[in-house]
Amino acid sequence: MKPVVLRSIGVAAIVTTAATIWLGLWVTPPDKVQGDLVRLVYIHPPIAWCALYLAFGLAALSSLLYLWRRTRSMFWDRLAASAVEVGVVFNALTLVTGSIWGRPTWGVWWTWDARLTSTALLLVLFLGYMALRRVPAEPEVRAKRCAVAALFAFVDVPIVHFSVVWWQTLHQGATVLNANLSPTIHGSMAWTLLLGFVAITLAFIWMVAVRYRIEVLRDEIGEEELEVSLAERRAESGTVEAGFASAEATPTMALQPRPEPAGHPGPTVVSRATSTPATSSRSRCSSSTSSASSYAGAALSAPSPTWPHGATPFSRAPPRTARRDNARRPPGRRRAGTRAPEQTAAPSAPDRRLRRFGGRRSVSPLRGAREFTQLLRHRRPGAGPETPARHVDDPARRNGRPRFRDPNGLGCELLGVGGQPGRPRRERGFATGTLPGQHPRRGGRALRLRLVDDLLVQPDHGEALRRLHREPPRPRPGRQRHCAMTSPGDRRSRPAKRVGA
Amino acid sequence: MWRDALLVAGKDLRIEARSRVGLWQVVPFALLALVLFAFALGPGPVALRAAAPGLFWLAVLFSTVLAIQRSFAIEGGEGTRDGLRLSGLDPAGIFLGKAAAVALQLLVLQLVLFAGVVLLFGARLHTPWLAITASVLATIGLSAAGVAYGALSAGLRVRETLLPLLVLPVLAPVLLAGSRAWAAALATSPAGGGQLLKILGAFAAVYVVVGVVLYGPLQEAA
Amino acid sequence: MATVVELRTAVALAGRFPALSGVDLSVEAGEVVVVLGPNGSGKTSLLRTCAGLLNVSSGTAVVLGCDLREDRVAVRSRVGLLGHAAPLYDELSARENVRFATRALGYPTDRVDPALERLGLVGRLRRTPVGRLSAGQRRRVALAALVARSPELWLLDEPHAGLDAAARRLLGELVEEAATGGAAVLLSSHEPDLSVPMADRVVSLAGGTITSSSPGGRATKLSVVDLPAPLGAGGSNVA
Repeated sequence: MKPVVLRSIGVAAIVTTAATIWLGLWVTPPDKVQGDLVRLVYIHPPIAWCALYLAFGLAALSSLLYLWRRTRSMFWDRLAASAVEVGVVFNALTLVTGSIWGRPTWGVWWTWDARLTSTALLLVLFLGYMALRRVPAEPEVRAKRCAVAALFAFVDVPIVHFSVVWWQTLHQGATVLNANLSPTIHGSMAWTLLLGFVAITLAFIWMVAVRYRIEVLRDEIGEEELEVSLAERRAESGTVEAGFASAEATPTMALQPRPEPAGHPGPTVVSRATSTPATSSRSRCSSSTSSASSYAGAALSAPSPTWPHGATPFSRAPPRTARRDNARRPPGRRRAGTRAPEQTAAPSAPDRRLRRFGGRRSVSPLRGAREFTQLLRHRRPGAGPETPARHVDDPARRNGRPRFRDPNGLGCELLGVGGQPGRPRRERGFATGTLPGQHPRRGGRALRLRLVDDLLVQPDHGEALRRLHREPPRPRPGRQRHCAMTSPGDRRSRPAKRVGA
Repeated sequence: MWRDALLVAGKDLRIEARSRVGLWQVVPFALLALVLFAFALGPGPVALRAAAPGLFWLAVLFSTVLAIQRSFAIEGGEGTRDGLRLSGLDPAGIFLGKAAAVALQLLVLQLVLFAGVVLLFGARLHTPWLAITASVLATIGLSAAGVAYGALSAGLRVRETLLPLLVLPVLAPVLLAGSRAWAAALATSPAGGGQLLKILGAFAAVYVVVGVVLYGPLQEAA
Repeated sequence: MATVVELRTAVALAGRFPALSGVDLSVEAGEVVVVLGPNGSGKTSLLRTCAGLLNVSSGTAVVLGCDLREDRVAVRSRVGLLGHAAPLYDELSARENVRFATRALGYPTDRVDPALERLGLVGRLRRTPVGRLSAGQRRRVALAALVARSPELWLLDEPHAGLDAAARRLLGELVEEAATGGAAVLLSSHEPDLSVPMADRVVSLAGGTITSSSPGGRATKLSVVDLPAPLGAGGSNVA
């Protein structure tokens, strides 16, 4: 759910609840029989309805959809867990408001009324679900187990209801306390009751959405921890070669290109990284977010992570992929930054590559390959030769900025993390990028980059960049302009211009 | 499925016959519970006779929890749990077999408990068919729901505390209906017996069906 | 030769822990593969993954034609896993245990006695409850159950542990018989002296991935090689 929608639901819930309270407490008249006590009718039935039917019905439905193979997805599991948790809270509130209503009416806090009893039993049933959910396990295993438990509990609900109703009505010496809690409703009371239903339902929806978001974040943390433990596990093997046999589970930021498909003369196809791993020590993250300096500076002030056996996930990746790539490419076409053994420099190939990135319309080198090749296809023919970027990876001139290789092999230097994309920087050799899977206009963060030749990658810089993925963007007083993202999707804003001009 | 159920039930009952845990531990526990109830309610015969059906079913309920834990402790070791998964048995068959074994043990238990209630609480049975039918239906429901929840918590380290919390609220309708049915059977006027039997029957049918359907994913998740 | 086990960059999770972090392994029918590795390297997890007990979260895993990522329950009845803990019921006798295992698969029970005899469990040993037998004898009973089921893929987790010399010899014979009978055998071991001679291939596992692979001591292939024949002789020599 979009944050905007969530916020508006929350606001609406607050507004309607306030209206209900105002109407209920001041505007509507008191009942003839029950007096002012009847004002509880504006919240007690809505809360009961939300808890018993909405929450647990939703939980049961989600559990069923999770267990059915065709619609199996973690969304249903998280939704069920959120619905049950909020439902338990509302259930407890139902019992509390019911007791408050019952005390002056019946004289006792609790009576074994059919409805109260079955509500209490339902509370205990779903408390059992929550206890089960807290047992540590893999997400899928836990999801399956809790879904089955929810269905078992839900199936019991009608039986509980009927048996308790029967049990209560047949009780010898029927209760003196009249369990009739529903007064006649008319006029303004009816409208207030309706408003009460709407308010409580909105509050319920908002709470379930927020709880769902918490589950999503928890699962993301769990996945990142998994990536870290995967890397550590591989490092146990002592050789990094074996650890990089799998491109899919590599915890990099798409630094490993896959082999080119046949007949494709362009750059290597890039696999999008899944999620970037967390750093091995959380304290470094918090310390860097609290500092006021730029991310680049903060990232480098932290020490590089220590991996067992001295093997880092990145210490060998670039040469290996360079070797693999160079073996597959036609000779003479080498990635920028790698050296052919017989030449000291490959002037034509890097020039051409950098030329594509130069010019007014900068292109992000970090986007997916599909978009990149689409951009290449739209390159205007007949463009003249352009001077390549002259930025060379000189360690003395690094200014503490991290440098890395993008998936296409180009060396990039991170100048900073931008906010909203603005007008492009009209200088060759500069570009904008995002981390894979993000778009700057849709909540992603634009990285301002400078293209460099002859990149010497250090492992901790890749580490710093990975950490950026998880830190929230911050506005900084930037003197540099932001480059606009150019992609086929952006054509709406700038229809006339072409890429690569 | 039925063949697998027979195989598993036979295996469970044979193990029970060799080890006699049900006979020497669960049944004495149930009788002990009856005695403790008498301590709690006082020695007056009127109160005990009035409370007898409820106390009977309460003792049965707690013994069910023990019986379920025992049934899954048979597959206690890591090897046997994996062995059951790898054995190629149909999960529905495993469920039905285990439930059948537990149900048989519970029926024996109820016979002994009935004798105890008659002796200790001075109750007298006026309509036996109602009591027997109610017991049989309730036992089927108890064992089905119990085995389902037992499988849910079997593989967990916290199973001893989790199982009662999960299964007792679910078995509450059986307690309700069963105790009222036995009250009707023990009293001179069997009022409302049909409705109770319907509730017990519905509970049993629902949980047998749900257990058969969901035992496969349940075994995976355990 | 049919490929019985095909794992490619398989990542298997045990709880939150990546037990296998990218395994490439391929086992043919009739092949004996021994997995060596230090403690905690994932040998048991590899065997359990092939048995369909662990969840494969990424990569390819196909065992006996069943895709383990889609449905790993189907493969379980077709493999035979001998783990650290024997899947035996302590109160039942050896014969009853093996009988339960065979009948569970639907096989007739006339396999039970020959299997027990093959493993040297005769007379009194068959009738006592398994809980009273020693650990090595329990292992033999578990092996008897495996032999009676005669699966297409044998997964043995440190089978030499706890067995005496005679039983180890017997194990070697059983593995050889299984392999020549067309089953694939994947076994993990801490004792290379015993296991390498019976293997076609020796694979070493560390940190959840396979780090090296080398041929074992079992000659499995006959190749026809054309050697240069001396003048006057013809035909090819078989090497």
